[in-house]
Amino acid sequence: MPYFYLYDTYLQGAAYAPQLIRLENTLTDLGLQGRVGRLTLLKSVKDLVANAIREGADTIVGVGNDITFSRIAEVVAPYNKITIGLIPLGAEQQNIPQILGIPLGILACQVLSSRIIASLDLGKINNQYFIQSISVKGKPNIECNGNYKLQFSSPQEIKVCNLDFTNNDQVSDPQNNFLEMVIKNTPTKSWLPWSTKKSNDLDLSIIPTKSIRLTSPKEDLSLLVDNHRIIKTPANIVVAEEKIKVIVGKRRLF
Amino acid sequence: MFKNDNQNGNETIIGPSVKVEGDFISQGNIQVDGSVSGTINTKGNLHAGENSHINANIEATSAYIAGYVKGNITIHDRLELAPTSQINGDVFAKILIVAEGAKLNGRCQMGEVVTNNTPTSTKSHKKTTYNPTEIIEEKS
Repeated sequence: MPYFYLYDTYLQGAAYAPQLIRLENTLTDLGLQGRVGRLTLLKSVKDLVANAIREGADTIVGVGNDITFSRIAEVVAPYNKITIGLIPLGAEQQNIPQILGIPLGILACQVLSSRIIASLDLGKINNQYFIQSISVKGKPNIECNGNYKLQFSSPQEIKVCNLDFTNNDQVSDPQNNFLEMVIKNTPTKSWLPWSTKKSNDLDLSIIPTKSIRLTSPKEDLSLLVDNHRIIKTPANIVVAEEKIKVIVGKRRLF
Repeated sequence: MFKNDNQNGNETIIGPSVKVEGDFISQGNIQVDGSVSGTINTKGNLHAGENSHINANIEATSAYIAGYVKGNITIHDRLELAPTSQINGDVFAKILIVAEGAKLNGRCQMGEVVTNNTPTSTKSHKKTTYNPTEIIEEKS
């Protein structure tokens, strides 16, 4: 099981050097050592992963955050026999490790060592894969499964989830072969002094679907994909069932 | 779908500000608080809230309706009409509970409901047959 570790660009700073040294020592102790590749301006995820697979790696481990994992998942999706792992490093809030049951930092090596593998769905938007979610705000025209359409009375916050938190502690199931579309209408507080409308009233819809066609009647809307890519409407979103294999922890939330 | 202790299968929630138009087919439970026009077909249960407005034929295993429905309702098990419900259409159900204040304008047939409707097909050819319950005559 040759491993390839892909370090994200933000780990190049001196602040992370001691953690990376401890990480590499831990991996060696557990017998999980492998080649290391570092993301730079000149080396993309696609190039590094393709080279690693060509040289025999069958487990690609992202060392970084949610965006690191998303980039690797997008590139690895076309390969059938490659498994993805994650070692989360960094101070910011990370959703994917929490959902997959992977602890932050060095403790993630234990999860890697136990090698519990789950086949997860991916989403596909205009021929690009995504793993987490797509967000958009506005009043788009939505057609689901080619069977029905959605209309809105006011602008909405729409999130198409595959592996993400949706409402409070609820998590979308990445193994149910569906994408969950979460639609929130958050009315703004009226400037009228006698208005009784509460600003925190939530109007929530949750619709599981296999395919979505998003268009905008007026100007193109921006879709935020996995919190780092932006795609404009029109967009065709479908679920790619059991598309990737991921090393998960026992305390996963699905 | 979303994982919680009571979850079993995919659950759909249609909120007040959402309007669905077309053939809505589901395998799990559906909760409607908004508007739906077309058809609703599920193998699970349907819960239509007080503010729901359904202009559709409905087929479900069980249903609780507290809003407005214009269309035929076919329920394989239990149909409960809340006091605030308004039904304009025919009702076919195995078990029917009508609360005080509910409005039902249409035919009502009870007994086993058998359909050939395939939930995954948008062009379903429905053939519905009814087996009336046995009538027990009281001997005076």
